[in-house]
Amino acid sequence: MIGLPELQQRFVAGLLGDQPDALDAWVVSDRLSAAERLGIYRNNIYVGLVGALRDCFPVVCQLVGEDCFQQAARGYIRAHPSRCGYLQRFGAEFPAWLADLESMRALAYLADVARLEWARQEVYHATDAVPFDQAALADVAPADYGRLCFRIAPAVRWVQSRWPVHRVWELHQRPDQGDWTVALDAGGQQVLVVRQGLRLHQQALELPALQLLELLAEGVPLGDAVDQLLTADAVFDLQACLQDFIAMGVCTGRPTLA
Amino acid sequence: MVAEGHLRTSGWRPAGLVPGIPVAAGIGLRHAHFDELTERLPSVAWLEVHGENFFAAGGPPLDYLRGVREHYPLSVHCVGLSLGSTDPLDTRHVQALAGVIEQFEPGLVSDHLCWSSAGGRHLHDLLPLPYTEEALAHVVARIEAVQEQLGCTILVENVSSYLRYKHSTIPEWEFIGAVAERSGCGILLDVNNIYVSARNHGFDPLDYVQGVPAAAVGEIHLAGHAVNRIGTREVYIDDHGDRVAESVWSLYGQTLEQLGPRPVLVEWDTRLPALDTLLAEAVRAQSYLNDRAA
Repeated sequence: MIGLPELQQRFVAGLLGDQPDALDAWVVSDRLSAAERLGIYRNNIYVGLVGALRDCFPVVCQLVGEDCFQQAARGYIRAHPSRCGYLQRFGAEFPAWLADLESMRALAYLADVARLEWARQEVYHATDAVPFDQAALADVAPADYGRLCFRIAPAVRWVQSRWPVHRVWELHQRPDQGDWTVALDAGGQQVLVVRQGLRLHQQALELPALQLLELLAEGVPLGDAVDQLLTADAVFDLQACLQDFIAMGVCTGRPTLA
Repeated sequence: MVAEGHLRTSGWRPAGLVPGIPVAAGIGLRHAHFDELTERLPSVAWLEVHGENFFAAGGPPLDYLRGVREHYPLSVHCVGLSLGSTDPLDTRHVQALAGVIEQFEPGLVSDHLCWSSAGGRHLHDLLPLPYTEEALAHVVARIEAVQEQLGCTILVENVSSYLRYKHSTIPEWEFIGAVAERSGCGILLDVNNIYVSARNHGFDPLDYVQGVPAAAVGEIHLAGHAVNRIGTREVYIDDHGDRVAESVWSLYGQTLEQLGPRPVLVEWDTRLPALDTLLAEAVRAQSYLNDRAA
């Protein structure tokens, strides 16, 4: 008689498809054959997991079509099976998987759209945080502004792409209307995703704004960040950018002085 | 007399702190109904959610559930503990569940008598165990470990199944009864699952209902199923995608006769209907309880 650990190992391998027909020996065949009975489980498993990926990556699915998505998703499920008993982390490596797929090469921007959709997933489930403390900022003397360090809220992600991925994503939110023109050669986009209360806010950022965000997230004081941005030959309204970040909920809690 | 469904606590949670689940009909609450339920606060005795959907660190689902919890008794039903798996118990999963229990104070906590992972790979499907002495000893030890870590007892649900193992030696109803007796867990008796399995394997569903220890049953589930065909042969699929079938209502009535009244819950997960349709199913489930009380 086969022991329980070995039975389970063989079933997982067989149901995910490594050894499709190796399980019949342990399953009763009667009105339905063992293969047919196992097929029901194989189908349920893939329908469930492909569905979980489709829920996370709806725009990717629209871009490649259902058949192509199914094929990519099934390959991913075999190569990167879910590693825990809940699904919030399942799909984390899907953007990289798509980037490596030969069959998806024609859609160069696909993996970046997937990265954006995964960023949205992470923002949706990220830890709640206290609002930014405006009053604390008012207590800081203007001479000390350069020493300010901001904390970035957990529900904030950004994606930098060589492609206009925010535009592509936006178009697919209302696929039945609007202007469907995307100039893929019009340059890349930096996209910010931030949770505001119960909803997600997403917008494109100018490159210097993204660079400022990255520096602040690393804990670089505002003055040093500005110096680095200026040497990078960036011309933009720093104060407006910072105020936007604060208004959008990008910053959390009390700023500190370096 | 049957007391309210409640967690039997084992020491470090003060008894009486946990609000009980009434012996009445509730509904499974899914994300698509959160907005409407929060706005309307319809009359329904209690709600059940999938525990794993609230394992995230933050975000809208937790926020909604905090709001809902103020108005309804809550049961937390899990799908991912993989109680029958021979992998090491995922104590982080149990810890995350403990966090949900601490935050939302459910009246009942449950998962399934099944396995869904091996070698660290999770299938997110509920596979039946072989019903052997080996599997019995294993799953009893796992349930004891989970209950120990949670500090409360859980209910364990019978799953729908599409296959049986050649080396099973114990009828499923005796197996789940022995699991409850040895581990101290309760049984969540899913009447639709009994019916689906009975049709797929050719046993009498009443044998199952009469075979489980009535005192251990702490909750009943109802749901819809689909009847598919492979060639000319019917396969019953537990898809939670329709109204409860008439044959299952009938089995539910017989189950109440056999066990007495219990908290009963209607689940609906695929092709989700309007909230009112689901609520109407709960009203019908409640009418069976009322008939027995009359």
